[in-house]
Amino acid sequence: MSDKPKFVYVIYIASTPDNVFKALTDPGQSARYWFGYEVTSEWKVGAEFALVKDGRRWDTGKVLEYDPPRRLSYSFHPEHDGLESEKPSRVVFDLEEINGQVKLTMTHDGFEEGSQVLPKVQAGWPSILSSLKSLLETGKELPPFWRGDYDKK
Amino acid sequence: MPEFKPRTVYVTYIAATPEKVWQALTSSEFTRKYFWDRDIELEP
Repeated sequence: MSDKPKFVYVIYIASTPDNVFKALTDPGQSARYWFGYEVTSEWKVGAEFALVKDGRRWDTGKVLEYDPPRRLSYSFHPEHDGLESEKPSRVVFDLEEINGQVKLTMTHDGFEEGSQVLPKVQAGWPSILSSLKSLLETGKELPPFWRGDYDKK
Repeated sequence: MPEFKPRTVYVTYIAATPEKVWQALTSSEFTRKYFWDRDIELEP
């Protein structure tokens, strides 16, 4: 069993696994709930993954697992803010249909002790996944949790 | 060695106002709907 640092977030969404999986892999939808970032990939194992905003690849990785609509994972390597030196971490989404809703479990692991990336993703995921839930349930995403200047990076 | 104190922390963002969320946390009218029919009892 690994004691390495990781972050796990669980959220229930009034939707179907198909629609949640599509939202996780669709750049147009992610731009809405992920504050302008497009999830970009050919979505097959081994394909490149990138989070693209304003024509720049902010975070990159590779697709590790693609099993719609149950499980999706990709490696995750920030290409900004001096975080480039850290080894890639791993993002895993598990989708489970329960009582007409989807239990979405996001696990972000593979961090080293003292990771600078971990506190950033810990702050980011609740906001991103709450926004995803709002978008799928109401058709309206949430505004970014941060204020003005961070948005200009 | 620090004492181990179990706890769980969960953060969620809601498209609402603090007043509305507060009301939902403290009134049975709301808790019955989202907390499986339970009434909340509390004294200010």
